[in-house]
Amino acid sequence: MASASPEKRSVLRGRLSRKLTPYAFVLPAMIVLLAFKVGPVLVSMYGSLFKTGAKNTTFFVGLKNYIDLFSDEIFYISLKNTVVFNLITTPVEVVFAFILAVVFNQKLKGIRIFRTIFYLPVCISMVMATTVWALMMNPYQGLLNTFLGYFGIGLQGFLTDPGQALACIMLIAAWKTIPYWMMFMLAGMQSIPDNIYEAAVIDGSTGLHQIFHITIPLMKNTFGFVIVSNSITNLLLFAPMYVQTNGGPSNATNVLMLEAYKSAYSYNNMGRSYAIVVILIFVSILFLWVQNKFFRITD
Amino acid sequence: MKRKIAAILCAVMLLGLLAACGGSPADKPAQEPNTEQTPEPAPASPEQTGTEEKPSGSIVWLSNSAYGDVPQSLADAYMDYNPNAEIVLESYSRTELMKVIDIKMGAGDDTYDVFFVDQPLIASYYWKDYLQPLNEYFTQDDLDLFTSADLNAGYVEGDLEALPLTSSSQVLMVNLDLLREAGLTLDEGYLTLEKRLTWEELIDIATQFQQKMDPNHTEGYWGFILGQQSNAYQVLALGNSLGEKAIASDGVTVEGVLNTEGWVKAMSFYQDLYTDYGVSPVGSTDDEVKALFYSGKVLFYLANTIRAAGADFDIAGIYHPYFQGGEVAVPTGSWYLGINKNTDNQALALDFLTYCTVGDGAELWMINNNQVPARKDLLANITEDKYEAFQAWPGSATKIAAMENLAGNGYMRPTSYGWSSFDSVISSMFTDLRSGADVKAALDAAAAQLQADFRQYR
Repeated sequence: MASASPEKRSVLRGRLSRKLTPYAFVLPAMIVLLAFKVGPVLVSMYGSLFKTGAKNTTFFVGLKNYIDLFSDEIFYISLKNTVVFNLITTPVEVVFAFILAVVFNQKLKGIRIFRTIFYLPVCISMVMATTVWALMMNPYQGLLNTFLGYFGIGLQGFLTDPGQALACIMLIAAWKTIPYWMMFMLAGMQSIPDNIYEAAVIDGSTGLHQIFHITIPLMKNTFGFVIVSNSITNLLLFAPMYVQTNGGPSNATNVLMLEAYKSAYSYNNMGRSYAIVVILIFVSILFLWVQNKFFRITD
Repeated sequence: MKRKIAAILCAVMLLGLLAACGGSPADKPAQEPNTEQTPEPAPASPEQTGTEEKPSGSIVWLSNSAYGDVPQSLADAYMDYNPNAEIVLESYSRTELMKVIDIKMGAGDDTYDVFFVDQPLIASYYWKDYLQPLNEYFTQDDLDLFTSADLNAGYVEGDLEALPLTSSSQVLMVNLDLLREAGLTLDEGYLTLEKRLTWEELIDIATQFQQKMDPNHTEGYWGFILGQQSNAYQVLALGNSLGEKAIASDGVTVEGVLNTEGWVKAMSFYQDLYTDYGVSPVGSTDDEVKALFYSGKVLFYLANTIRAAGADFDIAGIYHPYFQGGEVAVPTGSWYLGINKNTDNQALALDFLTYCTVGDGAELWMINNNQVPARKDLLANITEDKYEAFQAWPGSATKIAAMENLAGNGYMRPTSYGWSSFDSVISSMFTDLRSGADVKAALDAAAAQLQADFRQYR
């Protein structure tokens, strides 16, 4: 077989090089992505098909971990808590973040100082925030009950009351994260050109009319990002429950993330833990899919 | 197309985030009466007498931070005894310590050579193959130093998995100034350790105190607090006093054992402390209740002897209460030392463990921690008043504890392969009970959950 001429070989090399160069640039990122993102997902899926026995021996059990989960009341309670927490907390946080952004978008003297003050909770770790809030929510020595007492309201259990505990965790999470998402909203708001508002004023649009017909529609991408990111954060929220309630009282604050953690490190049941994580992945994908339907990010 | 790629990347990142997060015998009376024992020094091993070259190198000791500087003192004492060795200490709180052990040992890591092992977890660590069996390294004389209950708890399926560093017990502390302030009296017999309060008598006094001092819980006074109110270690003694076990002798049966009438009575009493009697605060941590007692706001404080401390009020330590008609049941059992199966310096790890348990370290630990020992010779030394530190409060708490254990009143937590599940579930149940959950339903739910979990060990 006749070999290709040097010119032809050079052209082929050039074409190959042009094709491979982009992949070479992407390769390091892909390696990291595969090792630290895709890898753990695959390990979880694989691990969910096994049980660990005596002396750390593992054996294949197929879908038994999943079957056991779907006949486990604690799992359903955790799933319900996770979904309820997300369905309530995410809209509340997004709405309040937007309202705060509208307020802090006003051109007032000293507004930057207020922005900074409102942003402070973001700089505190969730563990610290939860601990301080728990102290304030202590039924007997806590600041909140003392305050409520001035209005004749009796002692509240807060984190120790099964009817209030999840709401208290929601409050702590909202206090901590609303300012964070507020900054994104503010950035989105400030990226809307002033001339659009000026034209709207000429057309007689002011106040709330501007917000609903200009600001919100033009911030659709920002809303999409904030809602999706916030949902993921809330689905994976773990620290407040881990630090303060351990899922109690009466499993009122037990969420899937915490149940997965407890399965792995309290119940010695790694297979169950993996199975819960895989289910949480599907729950997250479901949430993202629904949100993507309503808040599709546009170019 | 761009949108699709972005969506795929987002999904992969989300999946990665999620996935990265995924991550024997039952209770029995522990201490055999050992009144015939006389104090005797620990037999000197060849290492101790210096007749053999001591092992050298560096090992890491994973320890419980609750003991403050004492583990470091023990490590320093060993390094004085064996200058060729370096003991590096790494400490975590009790809960974190358990997690670190599970994560590191579970991964076959050799970072830690010697580590703290909580008594009821020994079986669990055996199941998970974390520990180096010690049978062949200790003579019968060495092992005879320990009380039979403390020693037996170190065995699983015939393997000696760990040796006791210490034992433990509880003492009921009384704020005598508050008692007088409330116009109440306590029979002298209780203060002189001639008599023991029943739970019924204690609650009667605590309730009277609460009614007189702070019936509406606005002044911060409390009649009685448990030092470890969410911890099985302390709370199980209530059921034990009524003759109940928490886990059956097979180590894996809970249904019909944990949800009996006796447990309903014991847990109803526990709940009433926070609800009906209202003598104990809901929602406080162990550190907070200790601070409450030492700030002079609590009449009775039932706690481990390591929590006995000097106070700026008149304080007395008395015996652990029991249910009228029941048996005296006082929590005991504590921390053991074990060797990581994957250690790369077994000789040094073993020598250090030997020093801390059968060597001089055990005495040093006992004196510095005000904690009752697991060794018969040291127990006898205490009862014979050989330690000045234990003559007066707070050291005298250890003397009370020694008397409890020598009298056979100590109840160890049940050992089970599934202890960590039990500990977690039962701790949540205690929290629920304090919040007013139905006692029978809570016990049934805990038993059902544990029984399902224990299936993996059958």
